[in-house]
Amino acid sequence: MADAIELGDWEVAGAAGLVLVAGAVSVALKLRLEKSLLLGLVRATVQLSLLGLVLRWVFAHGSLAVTFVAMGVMTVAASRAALARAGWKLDGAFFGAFATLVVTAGLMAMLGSAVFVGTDPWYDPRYALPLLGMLLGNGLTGISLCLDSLLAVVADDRDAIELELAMGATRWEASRAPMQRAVRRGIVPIVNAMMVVGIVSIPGMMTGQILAGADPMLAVRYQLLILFLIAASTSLGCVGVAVFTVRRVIDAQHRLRPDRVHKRK
Amino acid sequence: MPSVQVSMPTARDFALAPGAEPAYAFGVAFLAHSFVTRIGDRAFHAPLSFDLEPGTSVVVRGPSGVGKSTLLRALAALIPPGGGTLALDGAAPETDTLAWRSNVLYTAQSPRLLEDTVGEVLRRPFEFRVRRGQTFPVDDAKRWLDALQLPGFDRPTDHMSGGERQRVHLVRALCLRPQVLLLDEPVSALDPDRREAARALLDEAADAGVVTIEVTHEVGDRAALEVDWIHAEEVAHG
Repeated sequence: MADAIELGDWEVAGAAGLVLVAGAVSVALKLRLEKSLLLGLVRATVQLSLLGLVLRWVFAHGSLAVTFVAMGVMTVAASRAALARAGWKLDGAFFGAFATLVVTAGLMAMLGSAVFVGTDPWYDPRYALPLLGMLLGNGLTGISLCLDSLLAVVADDRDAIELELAMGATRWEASRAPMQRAVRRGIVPIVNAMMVVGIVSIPGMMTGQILAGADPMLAVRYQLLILFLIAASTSLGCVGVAVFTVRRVIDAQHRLRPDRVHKRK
Repeated sequence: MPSVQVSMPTARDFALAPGAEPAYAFGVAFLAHSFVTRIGDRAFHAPLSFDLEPGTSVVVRGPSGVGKSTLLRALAALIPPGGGTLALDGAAPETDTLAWRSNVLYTAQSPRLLEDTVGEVLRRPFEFRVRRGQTFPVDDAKRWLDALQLPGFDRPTDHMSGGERQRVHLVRALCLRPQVLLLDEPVSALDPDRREAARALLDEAADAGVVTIEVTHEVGDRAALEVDWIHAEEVAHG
């Protein structure tokens, strides 16, 4: 692997200066975006710098405990983000999203780094944390789409489910079609992403690796590994969240529980 | 005329056949004791008690919005009761919810038909686990469709009118052979001719021993036990 060309603060500052061009466009066309642009510039710089410092510290102290705490914090943040994006709130949903992401993203990330990449030690945070981040980022999008679709049915279209429950359907029989639709909606984005990857653009992760000096074929193998892990983890995540949601919105007596679903204000 | 006793204590008492013996000694009796429907903090009626023999028809009449549909949904164990107990042939709904609902069938007022053709609509519930071993009564279904002037199994369900959907839904309910049929405004979208035909089928079911409880806001024209709705507030102030 060739070494990455060193990139200093001033060079990055130069790139930031180019954002001023976007600001000038905003002022000239009265788009009133210049404040947001500036804020975005500052936030991106601060957030990523902090992330860099944290990662550098975690990698340096790469113990099992530190790695797991970092993974836990990331998973909690992703669970909250997944729920915040859905248009409905479901009582007790945090536990469901968290448990699902621990299994589908957490275990999958460990599988990817420890088994497929074969890191030493097996929990090497340099591999486990970025992998987990990719899985969580995609998983939470899928989960929130799936959750949103299923809760909308319960909130707006509950007659259809109750009609079947009234004829003696179990909660699984009555929710089969909405569950299929919801899981589908959660998985479709990643399927589409696999279809067009590499045709429209070079994926971000690959771009980073190539810029950092990696052989393109190595970058491709890593990209494929990530893509496949994302597809598997998002699919399982959607199924997990759909099962959890049905168990919450239709109770063990096979009764709809709209009282557990609230419209997000 | 089967004997029947329906009581809504406090404000008014109903005793249509005073002195009638309890019916559960023979056949299936549908019983409610101090049954209250409640959503949130709102109770919809005074504690309700009844003991209905096979073949009894009850019509509950009341204005819109007093909780008539909610009462039926509670009787079908689709929502938790606010209090009291239910029993069919001695068994409570909680012991086996699915079996309860397959015997105590709630038919919604303006049902959606989720399947593509009439035949699929009618056969759908026979895919449910609780009905494993039951077979779809093809000949009866054909006869009932015919009686209600509905076309055959192949008819697509999209673009069906409200009245057609209501009749298909009624045929499906009959195919399921429940012991208790909870009817929510079952003929509200039908013209007089077809109402007559639908009534005839319901009477036929009652003759075969089906208990029917119908809620409606319309003025009655049928020979059945009629219960005027007592609203919870009315009871409280009475």
